[in-house]
Amino acid sequence: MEINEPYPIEITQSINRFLDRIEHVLLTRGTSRAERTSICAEVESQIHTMIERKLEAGAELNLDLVNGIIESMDPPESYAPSIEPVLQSEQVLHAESISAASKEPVEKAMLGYVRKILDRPKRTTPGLDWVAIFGLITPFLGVLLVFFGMNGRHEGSTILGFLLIFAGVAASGISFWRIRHSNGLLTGQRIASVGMLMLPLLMVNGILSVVLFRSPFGQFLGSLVLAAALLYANYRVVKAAMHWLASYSAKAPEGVFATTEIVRDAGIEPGPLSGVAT
Amino acid sequence: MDSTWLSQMRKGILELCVLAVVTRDETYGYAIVETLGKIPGMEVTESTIYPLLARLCSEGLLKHRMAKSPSGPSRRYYSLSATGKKRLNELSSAWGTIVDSVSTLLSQRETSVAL
Repeated sequence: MEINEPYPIEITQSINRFLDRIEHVLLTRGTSRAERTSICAEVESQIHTMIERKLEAGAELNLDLVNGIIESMDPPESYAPSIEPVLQSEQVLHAESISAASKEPVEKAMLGYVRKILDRPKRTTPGLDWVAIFGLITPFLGVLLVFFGMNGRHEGSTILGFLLIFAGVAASGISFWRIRHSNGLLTGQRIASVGMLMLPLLMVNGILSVVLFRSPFGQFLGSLVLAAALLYANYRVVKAAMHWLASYSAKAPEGVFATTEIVRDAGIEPGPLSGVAT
Repeated sequence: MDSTWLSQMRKGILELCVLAVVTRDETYGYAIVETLGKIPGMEVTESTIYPLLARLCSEGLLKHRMAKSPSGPSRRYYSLSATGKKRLNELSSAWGTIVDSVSTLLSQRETSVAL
């Protein structure tokens, strides 16, 4: 067979499977798309070069030859950073130290839970960030609790409501950061954006409502007109803020995690934790 | 000898080695792997070199062009950018200083042992 002829489909599939596994490992460790493409292109080029050399030496092109070449190369797992074994061993040591210290059933149950968390598979497909959902729902619950507390004069509910509102906004901020640095593995940026805007919007609306509805101007316009104007103002503010947040997010370096950058700055290959999305 | 220590040392000087290989001539990824793989003590493979090449490209230290390969898809041929040349000079200068210092230290130790 001429070298420049396309390979039989089973050979192409075998090469593609190997490249897919490498890309999967790279994706899990949080490597950027550009770097993943570059690495896989190099590996593919190497496979073709090795096949070419074998053919020049008189070998016959078949699936066994190609699989033999692939087996002689570094396995896909070796594209995971060298920091991983260190982290894994730290986790095992941590779990073992707990194991040694714990003989009671409750502690054994806790150890099982810790192991379950550590063994949890890393996300490799895009999914909605649960923190964004939490950040959106919590402020609503907080507002309900505040109203409930004010009407029924339950101070505890009012305080808890305000705490929930603040917690929700904080969670939305955290979620926004997580999504922005997740290499596309986490979605829900719009939800997180709305959650982040919740507290300032509530405060501004509250103040504006009190001031406008009590003013002679507000009384002249009427409640319905004022409510409609407020709703429209909210719509414009949310739209502008989300546009700004989206453009801010787009400025993130492609597929680079903060942790990855820190680790790279230290001169070490980036670690899997940089790409882990919980 | 502790293999972790050796691999960490290799990793530390790998960037310098890759830049040094590329500065000699425009070359492609597998050729770099083969060149470095033949150097005694380096023992690097593709899973170390290709991610490093990708990183050096994204940092602007290397530039590449696509060229037809006699087999398979087009190859990326790497060469040093201006920033890469500057980095290579800095790293080689630092390497020279370290080697001199450690050699001096070791020779003093040998002298004291001999006395």
